[in-house]
Amino acid sequence: MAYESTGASQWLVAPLALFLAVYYLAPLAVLFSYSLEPRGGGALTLANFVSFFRDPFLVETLWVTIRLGIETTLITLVIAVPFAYFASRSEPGVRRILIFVTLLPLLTSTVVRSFAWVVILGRRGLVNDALTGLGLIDEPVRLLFTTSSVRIALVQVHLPLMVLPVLNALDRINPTLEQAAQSLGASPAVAFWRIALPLALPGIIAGSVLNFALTISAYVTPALVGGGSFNVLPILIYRRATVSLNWTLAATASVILLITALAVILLGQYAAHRISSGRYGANG
Amino acid sequence: MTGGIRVRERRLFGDILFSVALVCLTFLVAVFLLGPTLVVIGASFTASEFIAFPPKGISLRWFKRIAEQPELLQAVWMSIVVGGIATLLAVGLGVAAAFPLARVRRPGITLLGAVFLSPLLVPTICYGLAVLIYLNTAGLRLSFLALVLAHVTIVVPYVVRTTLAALHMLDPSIEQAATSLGASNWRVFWHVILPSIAPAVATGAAFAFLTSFDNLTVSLFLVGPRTETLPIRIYSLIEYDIDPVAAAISAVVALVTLLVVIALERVVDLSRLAGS
Repeated sequence: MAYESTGASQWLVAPLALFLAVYYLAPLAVLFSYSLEPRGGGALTLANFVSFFRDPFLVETLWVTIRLGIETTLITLVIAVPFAYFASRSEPGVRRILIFVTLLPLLTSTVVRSFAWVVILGRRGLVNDALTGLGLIDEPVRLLFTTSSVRIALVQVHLPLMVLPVLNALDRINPTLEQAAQSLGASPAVAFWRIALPLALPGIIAGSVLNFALTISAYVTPALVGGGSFNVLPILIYRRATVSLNWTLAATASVILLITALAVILLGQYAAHRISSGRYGANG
Repeated sequence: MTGGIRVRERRLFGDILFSVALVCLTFLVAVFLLGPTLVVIGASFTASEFIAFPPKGISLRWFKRIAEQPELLQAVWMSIVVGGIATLLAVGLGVAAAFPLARVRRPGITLLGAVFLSPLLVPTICYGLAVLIYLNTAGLRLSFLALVLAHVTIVVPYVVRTTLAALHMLDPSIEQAATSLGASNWRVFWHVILPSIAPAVATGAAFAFLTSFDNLTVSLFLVGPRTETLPIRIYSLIEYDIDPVAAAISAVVALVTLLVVIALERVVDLSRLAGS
């Protein structure tokens, strides 16, 4: 290969490496040092983290964030898997449309899609209009600014990023496996449950951890759909950094968020890797 | 005999039920995915003073209002400029870096590859705050450049990833043929490699631009009054009280995105690139 032989080509990584060192790794290092430094200066300690976990309000916020992440990820998973399965097993034309339907929202602005839920769930929104129109309720009910509304909106906003990895994993399964199962007497449902689903597990895990990480770091959707009193870690970070100008607390919360997101993703990748390599090992 | 038939009937019924359930669920999910954007587009045509869906009467008044708000147009322009420059820089840095990542087998290079893709994993709100504190510590003020460079960090992984995928799929024997026929490295790059990876680079660039164009959380910490981007502007139009002009500009953005996705879909297999 032309580039391997010259050896000079490896220096092509230098510009990007330099840029990211100065404008990505260095800022993150400063963020970490801020979280380790007592407010007003002094030696680096874990004191900020200790006081974070001693404050019931902050711990509650962290807990709400993680719970929201788990709940939305599970809901997303349950609706993404059948959709991806149908897309992966349907004819090329249908499949193309379904992928298009998945990608379009992914590339449409998150602000726009969160805004849509404000329009749908608002006092004069679609759902309230429909319910009053059907005579089910007399006056508009409060749908917006609740945890459920945030959950629904987050599921919609992140659904494409669950569908795509699951679809990829399902595509990689040899279709003759399911055909073999069915010709040996398994129903399509059993073939899906016992063959496709377990084999797609690495993709399902990858999609789930990504979804969880994105949900716990989401700011736009909770801020717009959750309203002023809804609190999750990203909202807390933004408010403490810009409204109360407490950069120490904002940095501490950021580091907790970052570590949680990274830990879940890396654990998930490790698990997915273990499952697929274990399988290859078993197959010889 | 009759028992066997009954079992088979029950089986058939179950199979049909499974297929019907799958089709229904797929349809519902498709509606769920597309519905919200369609609602915003529909609501933007309302004739009423407040946002409504279904729209109360049909009018283009809120689209006309876009033109009457200079700060909105300014924000659209700012987002295009920030996204455009960030994408160009990301393509320059990312495509160059992808070559050694694809071809040089060294632990150090592999580690760098992980670092280059890692901005995808770092919550953008943490990165935005990190840059704000960093600039402040260094005694620098928020500027257009500071904003653009932060966008480069968050979009460069898309370019690296798609270019890398394309380079891995490249058949090395074609390059070897070109080299053995006397082509220089540059000629091989321009006439052999670049044409084959161009669709992937274009896809990466499109993802990069749309990601930058959509970004709110990094910009939130770094915009000044004169560098306000569109997501920030739309956000402030709907944060407390909803100005229907937000729906109109959102509809325009959604339609432009639709055109971009249609154009992209014709060039490359999006599912493969988006999922890897």
